[in-house]
Amino acid sequence: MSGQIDAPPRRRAGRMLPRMTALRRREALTGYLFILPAGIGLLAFFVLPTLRAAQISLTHWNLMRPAKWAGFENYARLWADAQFWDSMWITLCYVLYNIPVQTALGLLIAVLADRLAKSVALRAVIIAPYLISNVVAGLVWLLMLDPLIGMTNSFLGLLGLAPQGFLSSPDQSLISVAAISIWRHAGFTALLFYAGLQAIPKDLYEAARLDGASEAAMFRLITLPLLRPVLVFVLVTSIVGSFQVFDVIAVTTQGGPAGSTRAVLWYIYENAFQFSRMGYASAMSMVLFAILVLVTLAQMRLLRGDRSDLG
Amino acid sequence: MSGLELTQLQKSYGATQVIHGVDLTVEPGEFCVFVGPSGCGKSTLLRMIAGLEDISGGTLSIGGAPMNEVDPSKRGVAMVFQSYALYPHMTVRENMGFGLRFERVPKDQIKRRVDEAAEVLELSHLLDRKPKALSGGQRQRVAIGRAIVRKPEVFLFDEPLSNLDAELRGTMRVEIARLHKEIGATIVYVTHDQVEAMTLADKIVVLRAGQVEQAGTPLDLYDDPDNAFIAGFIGSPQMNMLGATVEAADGGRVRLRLDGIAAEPFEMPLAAPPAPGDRVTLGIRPEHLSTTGAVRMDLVLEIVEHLGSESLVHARSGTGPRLVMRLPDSRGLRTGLPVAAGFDPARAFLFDADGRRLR
Repeated sequence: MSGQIDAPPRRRAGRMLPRMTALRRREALTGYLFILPAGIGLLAFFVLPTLRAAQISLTHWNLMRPAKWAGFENYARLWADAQFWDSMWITLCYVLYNIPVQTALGLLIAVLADRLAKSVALRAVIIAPYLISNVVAGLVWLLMLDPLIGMTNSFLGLLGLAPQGFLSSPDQSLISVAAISIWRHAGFTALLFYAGLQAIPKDLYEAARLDGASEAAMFRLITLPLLRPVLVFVLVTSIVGSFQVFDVIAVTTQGGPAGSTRAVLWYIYENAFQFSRMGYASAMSMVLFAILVLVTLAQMRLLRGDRSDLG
Repeated sequence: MSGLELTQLQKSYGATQVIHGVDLTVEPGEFCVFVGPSGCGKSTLLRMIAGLEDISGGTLSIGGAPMNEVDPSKRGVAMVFQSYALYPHMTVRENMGFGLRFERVPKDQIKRRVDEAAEVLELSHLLDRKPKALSGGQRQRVAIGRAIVRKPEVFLFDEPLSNLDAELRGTMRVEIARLHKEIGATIVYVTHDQVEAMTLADKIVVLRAGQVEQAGTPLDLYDDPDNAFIAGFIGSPQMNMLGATVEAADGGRVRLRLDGIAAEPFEMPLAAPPAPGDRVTLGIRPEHLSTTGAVRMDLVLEIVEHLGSESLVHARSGTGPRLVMRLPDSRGLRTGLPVAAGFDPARAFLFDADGRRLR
């Protein structure tokens, strides 16, 4: 039928949304009911604490006495705090050690699992480290990387290599913490990529084979571009997660040796719970929050993660 | 252009054999259509020619050269997939030129060849679009264009029209026929649509359960089927199949009585008639049943399908089998009316109990 007959009068079109039918309203209500539990969780555990932290960041508060209004003093102090910026730098180095290797390793495992073996058992093994908590993973690796009694140095000895300091060496500690994180997360990353690979139609690879593309060319020209939305998701979540590295450091190095693993969250924790500077710690949290929002938006924008060529 | 030669071609998945020794020759420039019911192995056979499936036994030659172990991209074949298999993140131009990049064709030549193919397929104004922004028919043409620019020896089509609506399918069928005429390529085409097979093919190969049942020109298969399967498969509506009993046979003639239908016994010429008492199947095409004809049957009309220029009349005799007649004008016919149908025995086909044609 003609759209002209059904179209609403012109003067209404500009200022009114199309009226919802009763059915559409009921559907919308059902939709909202479905997301309500998640919405309540988000509000109670994310939005409200964030607002509360923003409020605390504008005060001096040592947990013992009532908070005193401080305005933007905490932010001014933070700006001049060399140790805060040092901890940001350490965190950034950790992200740079961690993310490229974790992402590349995850992608390699996923592609190999997809092209060579579609075994459920193999996928279970790949994801196994992710099922262990960070604390347990940290403890296990703390023992394995111990310079004196750890099996890693024994193994290096068998290969005729010199023993290393790992977590107790200021030069190697941050890399060691990153390695533990890579060990724990690469399998999960691989699983996300594996799921993304399943969405790429197999006949594209067949067409490419007939077109004369090598495996490497297919990976570069078909797999990577079509995996982009998953890649962006993995990068955003893992970069945000890496900026918030805490538990492995708490178990293994506690910011040491010589402050070499004092990542920003550990520095915030020290200020909040060792020096009782809740206002200052909250101000640092807000700055970290703002940085992560910017990093995420930039990534989404640059990599067009919200748009898929598939489907 | 090169021809194809399949010699005792076999395919097994583990212990299960799916292609049982196919022998076939496709002449250079010939349009060969594989047709058959689902699961008959027609797509598998095409993929074996393409190199996407390994060959378990026998020999495949293209242009006289054995191809069993040759990489798919070096066989001189290009394939159009049922799903089109267009690269969704590339433009039409990039899709069409993709294969040429790997043949190390210079960029200006790639551009020229893509432009030429786009012109033939009326795609020139769509070259900068991505597949998502194209209609089904346009995507199909891009898929064909991607094959054309590579200038292959043999084109392979895997049910290329099955995702299109009926009208577009008709248009694309004509396009493909025109293309074949224009570039004179050797084409192997898989379909389960017998109208496509009949209209496009120089040669139809009917497959069943991994074996070639019969190969020949469309009219050969229609007019002279080797068995009841081919007779039933080629032609729409299907050939009427009626049970009959041999009453007498001698001197190159056979006398038959139809089972379950009120009709007089009748005689047919047959070089090697079966023995009296044998059960046989009589096949009559719907257009060979009429209101006249030497052998008369009294039927009751059940359903009339008016197609405009002609009608399909479904009628039956008591509890006997239902027959379909193709009648030129039947506007006066109504459900429940008696119909006097008849046929000329010389136009009927006879099959033995195993479905083999009796000639």
